[in-house]
Amino acid sequence: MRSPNDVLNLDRLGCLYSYRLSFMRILTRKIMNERWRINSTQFDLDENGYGTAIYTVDTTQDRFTFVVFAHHLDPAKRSDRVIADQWDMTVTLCAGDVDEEQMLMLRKNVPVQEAGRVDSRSIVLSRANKSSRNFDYVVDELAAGRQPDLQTLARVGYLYRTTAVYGSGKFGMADWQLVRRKYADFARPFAAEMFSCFMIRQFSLDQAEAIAHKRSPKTAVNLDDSLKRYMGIGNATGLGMAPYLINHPQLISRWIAIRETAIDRICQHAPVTEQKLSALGAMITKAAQHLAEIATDNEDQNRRNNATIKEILAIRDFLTEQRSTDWPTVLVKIRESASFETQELVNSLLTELYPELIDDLEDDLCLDESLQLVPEQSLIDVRKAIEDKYGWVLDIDFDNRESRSVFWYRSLEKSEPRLGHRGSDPGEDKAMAMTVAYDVRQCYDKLCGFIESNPGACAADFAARYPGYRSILRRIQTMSQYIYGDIHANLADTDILPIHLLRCKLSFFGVSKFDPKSRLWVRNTMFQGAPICSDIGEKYEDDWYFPVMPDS
Amino acid sequence: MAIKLSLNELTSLLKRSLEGLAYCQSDFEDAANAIAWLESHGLKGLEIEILPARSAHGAETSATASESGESIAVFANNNVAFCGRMAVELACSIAAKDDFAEIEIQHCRERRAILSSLPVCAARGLHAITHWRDNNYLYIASINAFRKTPDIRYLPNSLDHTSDLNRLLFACASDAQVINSLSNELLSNSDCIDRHDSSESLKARYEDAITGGIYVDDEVVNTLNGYAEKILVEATEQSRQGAGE
Repeated sequence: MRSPNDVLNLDRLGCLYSYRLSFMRILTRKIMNERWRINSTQFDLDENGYGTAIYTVDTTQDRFTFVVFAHHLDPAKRSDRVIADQWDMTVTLCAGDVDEEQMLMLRKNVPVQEAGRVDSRSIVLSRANKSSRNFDYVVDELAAGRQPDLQTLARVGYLYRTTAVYGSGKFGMADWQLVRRKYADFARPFAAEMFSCFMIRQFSLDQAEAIAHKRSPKTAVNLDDSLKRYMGIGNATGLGMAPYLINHPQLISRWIAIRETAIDRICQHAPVTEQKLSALGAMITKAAQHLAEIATDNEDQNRRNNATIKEILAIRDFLTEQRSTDWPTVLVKIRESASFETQELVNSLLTELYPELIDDLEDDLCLDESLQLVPEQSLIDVRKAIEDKYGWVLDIDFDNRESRSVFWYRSLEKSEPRLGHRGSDPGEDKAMAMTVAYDVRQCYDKLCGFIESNPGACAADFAARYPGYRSILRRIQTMSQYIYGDIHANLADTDILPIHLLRCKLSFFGVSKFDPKSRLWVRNTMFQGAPICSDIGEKYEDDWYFPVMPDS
Repeated sequence: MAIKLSLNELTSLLKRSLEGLAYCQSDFEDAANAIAWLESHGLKGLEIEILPARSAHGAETSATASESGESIAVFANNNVAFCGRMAVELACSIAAKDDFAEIEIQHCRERRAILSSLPVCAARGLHAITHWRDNNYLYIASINAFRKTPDIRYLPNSLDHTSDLNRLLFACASDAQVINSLSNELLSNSDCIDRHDSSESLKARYEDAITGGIYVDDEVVNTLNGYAEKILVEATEQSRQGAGE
């Protein structure tokens, strides 16, 4: 296994790519292999596509209902920000069938999202906005009887973009504990949320076709299936996602450990064969094309993508001359010459080569989270644990103003997390607890002093004497038990790049085409290249990773 | 009017509210978890007083062990929602060494909040018991090692125990027999049990809360939201830049 110092480096985590065990991939395999039946049972849209749609979803175990409300939205109100209060589409995923009474409740509450209340029959609440560039263009072309131009579609890659996907009991919905226990199909992290995005994508395609047909019944055509598959669902993710990574260290650690275990198993047990090298070479070619097709205005991301393309193509050439018989030797050579982006891209591709070695790990992505004090642990052992596991914290000079210049706070506007600068922005006194590194350092210093006068003391003695440190002490003791503990990042540093946190989590979700809009938020694409509902029942190849434009 | 909240939503609201009341992170996490645990087990957690007792402006000082020794520690003047888990953790550390520990929390209030910490003790492989009195009852709660839910008995409190009205006793041991003996001794003081919340019945209430949500009076929700708003910062054009606009 790679060392925590390597893996938990935020610069590296900010270069992660989706891989075979990313949540969208796992979900799609499940839908396709189990042949879920997804049917549109109500599709009451007017000529503009506004109205209500209902899809029933029959898995092998349960029935779910996906309810969509499509609205008129003043273009001036269309915003990716969480603080928006109107959207083109609002949706909920419900357990079981939805009767009239429930439908009335949903109609009243789902369109207003955070301002409404649902109940535990709802599992996910979400919304999405049209891509102003793509949606009208696609409808116009279909209505005129033409397929939209592939190059035009490719510049965006989706018709709608989600701006928030809520689950886990928010706004009265089903608690995660309930979902995990009662609905086995969604008993993996964010499975229900990912499925809702899959369905938003499906509705976006259905709606575009419906509008085209209503507008021009005689000339309209459906979108080609290959283009439908190429249309993903867009996503905009901002700082709201960052606290999750700090507040769920055990879960994030588990996801990272699973990814590392997958890579390690391949290194330990998979021989390098000509066939595998050839397959990897083909994957690299596809990944390079995928990166080349990313359209972003972000110069840094473009530079990174171009550098990665250059590096992976060089690696492809290197692999054709490869005589090594084990992956560790190959990976060491790659590591010596390539950037984090390229290293992690190759790691992701490796996982595609050996499903038989890693697929069982998808059952281990959940864990019960609870930060627990180990009250009897000697303080000397706690100090050693900090020195061993949080050495990166002890290397930070907190006397340097820049290492503490940023604070995180929640805005009055929908509690949106935001960044402020100490000494100049208001809200410092209301800062969120995001400064794990600083808190560990404070605890360490206090604890060292306590040990001097109480050499035989245990963690509980220290916590009772300094109760304000209970929380960080629990975190230190709990996370010290994991191979991959806390992310190595000082989130108060002036140079912090929150976008790395976002990309890390999004890679586990399975998104692609990162398009950073600033260091604070990123657009990306979900399910691009994935099967569409009408593909269910057909042979499934599970090869939609790093999607590229279909042959025109 | 009541609003139905999920357990996760209630816990989150409580944390934000208590943070808004200026409690430190350790305190607001412990108290929020304690209150939500009680509420989800049908034990009226939301009736627990959360306002700081001594200062209308700042946080109540966190609980501090004023004395800790081989087998007993005494806490002073505190709300058990905030100090209960710490007391239990301290007892666990003593029991890990001595196989038995007893903690007394004096001058305390909201004593039933200790119930949420019993599973913490049980998860460490210890058997535990806690008891306290009010004018009506002697409350006895116990849990076996590795169980998730305690068993609570309510005995009529016919004796004059005015000195006991603001203290709480907690004991844990590695040997189940030790705790059973303590329990039997307490139960022998009374002829009858007025009420019994078995671990099974508490578990059933918890399952109901998870399945259907928890009804909370909307005035309570509004009050909690009011506290929670104190952690929010006024939005300005400048602040919107801080989210990437």
